[in-house]
Amino acid sequence: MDTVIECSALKKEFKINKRPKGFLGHMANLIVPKFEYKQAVSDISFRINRGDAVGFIGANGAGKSTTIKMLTGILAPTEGSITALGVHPQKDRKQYVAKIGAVFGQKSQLSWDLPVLDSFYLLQKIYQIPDQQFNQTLEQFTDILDMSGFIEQPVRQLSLGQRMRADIAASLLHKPELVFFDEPTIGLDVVAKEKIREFVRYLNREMQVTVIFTTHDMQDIEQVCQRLIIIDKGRKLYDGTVEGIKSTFGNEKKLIVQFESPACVYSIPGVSQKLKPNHVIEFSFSSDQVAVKDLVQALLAEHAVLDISITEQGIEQIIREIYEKGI
Amino acid sequence: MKKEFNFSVYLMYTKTIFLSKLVYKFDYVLGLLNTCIQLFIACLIWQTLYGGNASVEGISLPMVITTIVIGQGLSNAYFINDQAVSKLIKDGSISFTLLKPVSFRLQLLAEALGEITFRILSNFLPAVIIFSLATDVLPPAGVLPFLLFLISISLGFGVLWMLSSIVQFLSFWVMNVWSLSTIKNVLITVLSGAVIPIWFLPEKIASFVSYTPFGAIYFIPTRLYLGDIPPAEAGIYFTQQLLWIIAMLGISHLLWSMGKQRIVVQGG
Amino acid sequence: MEWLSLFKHYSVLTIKERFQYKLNAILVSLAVFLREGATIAVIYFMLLRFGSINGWEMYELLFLYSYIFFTYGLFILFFTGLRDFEGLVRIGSFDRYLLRPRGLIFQIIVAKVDWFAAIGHGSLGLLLFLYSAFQVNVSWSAINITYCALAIIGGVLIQAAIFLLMASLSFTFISVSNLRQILYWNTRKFAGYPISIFHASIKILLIYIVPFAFVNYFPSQFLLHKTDMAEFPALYMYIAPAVGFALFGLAMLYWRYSLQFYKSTGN
Ligand SMILES: Nc1ncnc2c1ncn2[C@@H]1O[C@H](COP(=O)(O)OP(=O)(O)OP(=O)(O)O)[C@@H](O)[C@H]1O
Ligand SMILES: [Mg+2]
Repeated sequence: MDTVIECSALKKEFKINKRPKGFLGHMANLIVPKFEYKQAVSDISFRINRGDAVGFIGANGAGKSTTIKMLTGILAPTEGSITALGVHPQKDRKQYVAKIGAVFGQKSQLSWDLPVLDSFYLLQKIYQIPDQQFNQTLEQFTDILDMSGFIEQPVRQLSLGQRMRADIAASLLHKPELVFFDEPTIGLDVVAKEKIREFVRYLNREMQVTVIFTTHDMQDIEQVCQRLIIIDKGRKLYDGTVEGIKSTFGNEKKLIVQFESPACVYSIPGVSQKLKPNHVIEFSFSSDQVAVKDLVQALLAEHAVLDISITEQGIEQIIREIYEKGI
Repeated sequence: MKKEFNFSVYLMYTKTIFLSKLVYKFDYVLGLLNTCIQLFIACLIWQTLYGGNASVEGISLPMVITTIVIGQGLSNAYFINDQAVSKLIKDGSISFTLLKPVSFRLQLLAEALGEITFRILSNFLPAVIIFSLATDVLPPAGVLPFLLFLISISLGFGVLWMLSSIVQFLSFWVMNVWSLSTIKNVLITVLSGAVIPIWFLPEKIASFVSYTPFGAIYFIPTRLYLGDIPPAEAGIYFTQQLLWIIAMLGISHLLWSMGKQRIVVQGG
Repeated sequence: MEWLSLFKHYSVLTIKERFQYKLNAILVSLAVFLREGATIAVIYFMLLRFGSINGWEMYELLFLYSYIFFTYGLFILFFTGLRDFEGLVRIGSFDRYLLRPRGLIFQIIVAKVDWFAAIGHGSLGLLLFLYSAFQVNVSWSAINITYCALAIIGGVLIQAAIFLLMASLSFTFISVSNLRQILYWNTRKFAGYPISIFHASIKILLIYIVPFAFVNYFPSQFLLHKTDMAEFPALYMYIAPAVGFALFGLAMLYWRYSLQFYKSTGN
């Protein structure tokens, strides 16, 4: 398969100017500045193939945005190497960025006081997009992203959801083959999120654009990405399919049983119990140690049971546990 | 709502600003450096202009240098943020300010005084000391002239403050107060005698200045300091300064009342 | 010439942006114009009484001063983005420049072309320059005109080089505004006068450290031949236009080197 990005042993350290204390400190700092180092990314390697849709997740401060910025060539890695679209993102900057797109949910690239359309025309000039292609793309995006209602309005008058859609369109007008989205759904309502997911899915599936996506919303990932990379404290924790994570980590199950009368169940190896009101007991266990069938049979054999329900861990919950405990 | 006058409240505003300035010690060194460079250049230029002449048209070089150090030194210390009201209007917080049980205008003045006291102590006085040692800054002509100077310089600040508050309250109508403020400052620079003493302005312009408030800010006090105005005539000049303050207070009050009305009408 | 059309496009956009607040834009130009005018008025009034400063007559001084205004006006037209670069770095907007397939300096220049400020600063400089150029005793031969044009470009480039250096430093330091205040604005206050009137240390500052002397003093001397040039090497008059090109070249190299230190922002 065709490799789009290959990066190995990426590391990024930020040099932070220590704020001097007092007046003498301030003077001394002018002459001999003091620094401390902060490691945002410690060691990350992966390879991304053409046509992939990869989701990056991780707790706040995990290093997702920093990784994206290195991949787009904004930041120089402290160590490690990146080859993307066959070039070095920083050394061959102009050649590289002409073929990629980047959307940063927190930062707009549109001109605050100008109509959206004006910013688009400017981008046409910057990327030297031929008129015909530009008009066609614009029409297509206006349609899919439902922008016709506000495209002539100044950006300062747009709602967050409208602005985000306009920003996404702006980043894609030049038909990039590789697109980075850093939290494009941040702060949006359910419907707006859905629109954006749909669009990204369309890009990826219909237009064969390689997509890299960071988010804190697991639904974004489930609906858009086939592949998931979890980053924690600057390291890669998991890299595989979205399904894979469920089968690898999501094996904790819960059996919730309501008994007819107060029941006392002997402890079963590998199963923990939690007493709930109304004669309910919640049994938690790992599905590769204890089979559901055996447990249910054992319970039914000895007790009078009113109701049984079984829950699996959702992906949200799996991720939460990974953030909290590590793998 | 009747706003009760409580002096200690305003003193608090002054003190808070004063103390907050103490934190940025580095800025204060830079500020002093700025003032010194500016005064240094001005003194050097006048020295060169005099070219060894003891006096020109009856004005000696030390008199000029004293005028410059007092005028430009103080104008650097008199830091008034002309855009304060404009900012409040733009972000809408002006209506909250009006609800507070203190007079907004006195609060502005109190805060400005905090900043200015700080700058006089940290910037003006050190610069005066440095320049008295390095150049011919004259001592006051006597005890009485010095006392009259102190009264007159306070009135001078009053004149400057009123000018500024007129500009500030114009921000109810004009969005870009920065421009108005800059234009006002240009007039002060050229006509107040702080950069070029009014003695040396062309006659027509000098007589024009006497019909404006600009000469009342720095130049009248300095002349009292130098004894260029005999103490016996001080009363006339004080009256002149006071009249300017009262006249501009009237205008500023009018602008403020009309502006406040606008806000109430617009619903904040 | 494709970049020229992009430059035009950007200019139209920034003017359009400014014209959303029309009165505002005009007032700003007017205020800037008057502020620069105040300096001139002061010199004018002084010289009206005193005749000359160290052998420099009124029009010669105005000629000397007009270089500063005129070059700053041109500088502001092209390099506002460079002057305000620190802000761009602090809020992380420089990210966007890095993501676009155009030269960085080019983008910095075109994205903030500021016609209104340029008109405020530059028109006074130009008027003053043209006015004083015919009052002073200079024969406007082809050589002199060429020299003068080159010196003006050089003067713009010297200031651009200073600001490019500051911009490069802003990748490493949080705030360079203090440094800029000391190096640029304070030094500039000296530069309006013939530098021969100053102490040796200030001459060194103006010639070798923040070379404002090459923006206006030496170019003026080439044309005016005042006697106070005797204390400086005559060579400086001839190389004055080249200094700007050389400094800007050096500043560009340092800029290229500094780019790797860009940190963006935390989100
Ligand atoms: N420009 C910078 N200067 C200093 N530290 C930085 C900078 N950018 C990021 N960091 C630090 O690096 C770490 C990783 O930040 P990063 O923005 O990559 O996190 P993230 O995974 O995107 O988090 P979030 O989900 O909150 O966006 C954080 O600790 C952050 O404080
Ligand atoms: Mg982030």
